[in-house]
Amino acid sequence: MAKKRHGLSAAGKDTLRAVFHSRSRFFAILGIVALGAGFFCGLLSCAPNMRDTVDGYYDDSNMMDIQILSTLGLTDDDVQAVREVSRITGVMPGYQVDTPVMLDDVELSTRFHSLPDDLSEDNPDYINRPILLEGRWPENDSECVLGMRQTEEMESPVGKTITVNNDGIKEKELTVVGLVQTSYYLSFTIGSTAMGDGQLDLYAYLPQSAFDQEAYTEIFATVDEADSLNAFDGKYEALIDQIQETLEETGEERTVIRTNEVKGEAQKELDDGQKKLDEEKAKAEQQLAEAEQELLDAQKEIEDGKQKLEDGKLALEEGKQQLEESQEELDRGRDTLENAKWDLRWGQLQYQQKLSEFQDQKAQAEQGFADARKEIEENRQKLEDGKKQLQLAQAALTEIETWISDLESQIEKLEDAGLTEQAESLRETLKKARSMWEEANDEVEKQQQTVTEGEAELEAGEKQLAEEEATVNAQLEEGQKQLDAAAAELEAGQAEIDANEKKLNDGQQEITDGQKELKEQQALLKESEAQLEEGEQELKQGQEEYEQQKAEAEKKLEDAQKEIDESQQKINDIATAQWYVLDRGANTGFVSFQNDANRMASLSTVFPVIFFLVAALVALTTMTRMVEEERVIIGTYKALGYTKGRIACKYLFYAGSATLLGCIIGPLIGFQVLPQVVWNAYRMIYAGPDMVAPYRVGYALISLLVLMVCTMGATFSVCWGALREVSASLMLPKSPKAGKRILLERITPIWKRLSFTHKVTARNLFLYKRRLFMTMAGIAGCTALLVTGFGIRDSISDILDIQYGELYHYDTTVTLEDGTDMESTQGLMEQYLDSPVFAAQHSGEVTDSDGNTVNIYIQVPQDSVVFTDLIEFRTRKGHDTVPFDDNSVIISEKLSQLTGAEQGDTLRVKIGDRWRDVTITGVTEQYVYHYLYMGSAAYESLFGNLEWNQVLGICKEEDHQQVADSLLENSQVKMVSFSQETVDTFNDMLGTLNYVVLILIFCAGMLAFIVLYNLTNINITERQREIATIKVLGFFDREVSMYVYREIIMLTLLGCMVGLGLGVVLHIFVINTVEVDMVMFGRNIKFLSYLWSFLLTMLFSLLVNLVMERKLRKISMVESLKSIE
Amino acid sequence: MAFVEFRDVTKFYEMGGQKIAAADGVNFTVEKGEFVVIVGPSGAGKTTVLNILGGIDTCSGGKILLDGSEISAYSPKKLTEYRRYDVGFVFQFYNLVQNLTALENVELASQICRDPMDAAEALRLVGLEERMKNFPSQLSGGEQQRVAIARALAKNPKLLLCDEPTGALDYVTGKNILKLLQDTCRNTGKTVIVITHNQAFTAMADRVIHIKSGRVQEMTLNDAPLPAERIEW
Repeated sequence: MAKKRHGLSAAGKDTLRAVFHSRSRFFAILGIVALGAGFFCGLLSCAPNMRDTVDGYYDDSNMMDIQILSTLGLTDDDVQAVREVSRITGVMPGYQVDTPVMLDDVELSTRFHSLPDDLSEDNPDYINRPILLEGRWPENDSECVLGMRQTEEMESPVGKTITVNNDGIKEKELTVVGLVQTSYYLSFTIGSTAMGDGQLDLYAYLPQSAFDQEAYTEIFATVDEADSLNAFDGKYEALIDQIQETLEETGEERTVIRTNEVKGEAQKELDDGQKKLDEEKAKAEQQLAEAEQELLDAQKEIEDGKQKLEDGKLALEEGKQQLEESQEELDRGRDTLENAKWDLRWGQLQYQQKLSEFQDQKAQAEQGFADARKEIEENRQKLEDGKKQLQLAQAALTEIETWISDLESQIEKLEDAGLTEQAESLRETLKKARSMWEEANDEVEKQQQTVTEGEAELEAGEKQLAEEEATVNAQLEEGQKQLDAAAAELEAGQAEIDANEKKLNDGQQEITDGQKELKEQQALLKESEAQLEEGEQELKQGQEEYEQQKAEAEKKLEDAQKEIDESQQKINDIATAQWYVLDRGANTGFVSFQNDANRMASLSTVFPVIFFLVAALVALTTMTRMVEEERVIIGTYKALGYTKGRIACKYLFYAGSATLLGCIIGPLIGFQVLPQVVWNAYRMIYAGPDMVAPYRVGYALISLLVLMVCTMGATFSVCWGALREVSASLMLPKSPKAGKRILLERITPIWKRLSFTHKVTARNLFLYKRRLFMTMAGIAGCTALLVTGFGIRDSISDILDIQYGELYHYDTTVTLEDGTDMESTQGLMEQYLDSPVFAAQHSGEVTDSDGNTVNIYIQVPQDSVVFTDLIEFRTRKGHDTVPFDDNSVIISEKLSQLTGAEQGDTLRVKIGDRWRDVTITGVTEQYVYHYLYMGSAAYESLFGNLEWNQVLGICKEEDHQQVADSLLENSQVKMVSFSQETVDTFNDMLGTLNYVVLILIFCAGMLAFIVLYNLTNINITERQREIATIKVLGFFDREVSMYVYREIIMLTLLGCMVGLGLGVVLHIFVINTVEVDMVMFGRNIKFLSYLWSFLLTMLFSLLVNLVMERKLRKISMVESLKSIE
Repeated sequence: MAFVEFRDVTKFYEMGGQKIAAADGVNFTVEKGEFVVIVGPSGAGKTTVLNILGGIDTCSGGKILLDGSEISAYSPKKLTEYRRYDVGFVFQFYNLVQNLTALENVELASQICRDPMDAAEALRLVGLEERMKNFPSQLSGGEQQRVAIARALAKNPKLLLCDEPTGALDYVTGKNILKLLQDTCRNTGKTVIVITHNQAFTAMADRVIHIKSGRVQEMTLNDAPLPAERIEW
């Protein structure tokens, strides 16, 4: 270019200045090229970087090329034989033991490997060298180093003690002295094992001397110069295949020797065993016979006792009978006595009555007699009184007579004396005395009479009384006599009754005594009965014990015999040993990493296409504009005599330099950033070293070449068109592209409604088809990237949301010890879990349609009805329930996809070592792991006995840890796990995908920005005049902006629509590519993701518009309208 | 009071550190309804004067009054409104929107102002009723300029400003355009200001302003302006 040393040619200067004067245009090309090249190089180098990194890691750790396993173990002779094979450089025999260990009270399935004695770097026989991450190497047999997936919150196990219980390892307690990482276990999924849940949790290394094994488990070998080849390369595989074949030949020789060795040893051991067993059998039989005799004796004793007891019982019964009878008699006597008593009392009562009657009569009679005597006495008194009065009257009469005699004497005298007057008075008194005498005489006479009469009367009365008294007394005497007799009789009755009563009481006493005695007898009997029963019970127990022991002993003997027979059979069956000569293809980590790297490789081919396409379009439109702008200059150059090529050079240089710069800057960033992000994401599943991220010049050159062709091709085609015109016509401004009627105008009703600005927009869109296409492609690409990014997130979060939100209703899995019986744990489970279901889960294998082995889980619930409450079986599309009962076999959707087996098909399933054909009754939506759900009947008919080894359920408590602790207290519970743990793991994975999504969003943003910026830029510069004109016409700023942006918005909208559709396709492609075998990603993109993609695209568009707003404002009306250049 | 008045209007540009005066104290007045021709050599500052009067450029000093309002004091927003409602522009290179038909180009203006003339009527007025549906690229230069004039007229402006309207046209067509402008002035009574470097146009003006080196050299009133058909150059 430069003609003189001291400076550029004028045309060269013009070219350089053109770059500086249109920086934004230059950077538009540079930007899209850098983006495309960077993305291309970054993505494309991911897979090779991954392979190189891991290959380097393998080489550094002297990773085995070949692993030999033998069905009968391997010996030092075998090692020697392998060593002698040509091209084998290193040989390391080793032990491998799978066993559960206890670390912090957690049981972990662990694989122990042996470390050779010589751990030095230059020992070629030290293969699969682990890298010490923490701590130190083990120094004695009770020290080990662990390899495990470490999380930030996890406490380092270094310094802790793990307990091991395995015959293959000498010590029971091992101290963890270090943490390691090994290339042999590249992925965090260590591998499968025959114990526990079938998955290894840990691996560990022990010194070789810490193992107690009769033969080596495995031999690792390295192959000469294999480390100089990439392990993921075909050449490596070819080399190893060759050595493998040689080794297999060696194996055939070695195995014969080994087989005979093993058979001989085993037969000897077995013979000893048989002899021992026979001895033991004889001893046991004798012991049993003795025990039986003892039991028989005891039985007899008890039977005698029983007989005695029966007799006693009978006697007792009789006594009871007698007693009852005498009691009855007694009762009857008591009745009679009572009657007699009653009669006696009646007699006594009557006697009393009569006695009192008699006494009344006697008293009355005596009273009568007393009264009569009293009357008589009174009459005698009266008589006496009468006699006295008579005597008085007689005395008075005598006195009167004396008085009369005296009076007569006197009268006489007197007469005599002659006193005759006086004698006459006295004679008168004598006459009176004489009358008085007469009267007194009469009285005396009367009285005499009365007395005489009274005397008579009295005499009569006395006589009568005496008579009466005699009669009554006789009568009374009779009554008294009678009464006395009655009293005597009564007394006699009383005496008799008393006697009888006493007799009765005595009888009663006798009965009571009898009863007492009877009771005592009864108690005695009962006691002996209880004793007898006890004895019987004891005997029964003894018998049972005997039976049991007998059965046990027999079983033991039988088992032992069976074992021996089986062993014999086994020895007979011992097939000639078989060597398995494996390459890295049998290493889980290697295979899954290889798959991931291949997936990454295919993924990295799609995205760059979008960027290349857009880069070409951007270059094309930009350069077209540039050439159009510089028509006059081109014409001038032509007129000045420059050749077409020389002129074209300017534009080719312009585009080429932008492309070259872009292809330098882009890959510089791309080679580092993208692979690192991807590698960091993969390191969540792989334990590998830091990524080796070289600048792969080859990729950069490819991107440069492709992009150069795109931009230069576009530039050249534009230039050439212009250069073909004659110089003069170039000097004139190119007439603006003529306005055209577009199809929309034919639809008058719509067209009429559009304002002129809308019309301009519509016409512009169709007028500049190239720009339309570029923008559409850019925007569509942007939206598609966004949809894909968000879609990937949706797909992963579907696993969580649907699997653990909608399909799995249980959240707790309790793993049981082998041989746990359901009845004993049922209660415990119901205490902590809602609707607990016992299930059997086994690991199994199926073969997919490509012939690869797929590891699956077989889950068989005890109760298929409750099981469907815990796990929802449904189709993914339509959510139709897939019925599940005891005869059902349901497989997960991904498994169905892998094997091609659908409802009604049969699938060959391997559990343990049995292959069976299973007829599928349904396919269910499932995102995590491959599952084969079988009803118990279906399982049993194919695989035989079921043993429940886990319980699924819904945890009742909030505090999971507490529930786990409580459950683990039961010795039959082996492990308790919660879905939450799995959810957390997936959340980690989701975290890595957020990187990917962010990258995609960032790239999409860049893409949208560059494309829109360029478009707007062109739009504005090209239409500067038009914009100035409408400004002059008095359009407000907002109206001016909208005049320009409406077009961009329309294009963005259109691009978005296309992009949304494109995104769906891209998403499906990406998901199918990146999906890991174990997991099915969701296939649906959420509405929200579409919305976000749309909104983000619009946001990018808006941002560009904001940036461009300034440019619009700056358009000067005066400058733009001056003239046409 | 004059319809348009320029008082000591100055306009300076910075160019390579030098201050260049495009207008260096311009003074003139124009009455309403006049047909004015501003004439002067290239680079005399005619266009600057017109741009400042039309509100697409601002002055560095002095005052511009239009119908009593001081345009020189307007804010950018106010200036936009001023352009929108009060001024009609006709440019040397027509500045039509290529993507719109003749009618639509006129509508572009008429649709944004308060009291527009019917777009079709405006085109009829400039004699283009037959070509309404045509795109600019389908019209001759004269026709395009007529569309531009129709677009300016359709806004019903107070002032019609024309910057070398015949500059890109041949003689006959130019004459026709001049006639159209003169007729418009006469028939509608609008004030029309035409910028030209062609002395011949002065004959048809009511008022002629001579500008040279950013100053008004002379302002003459023409009592008997010639009709456009009669002038020759």
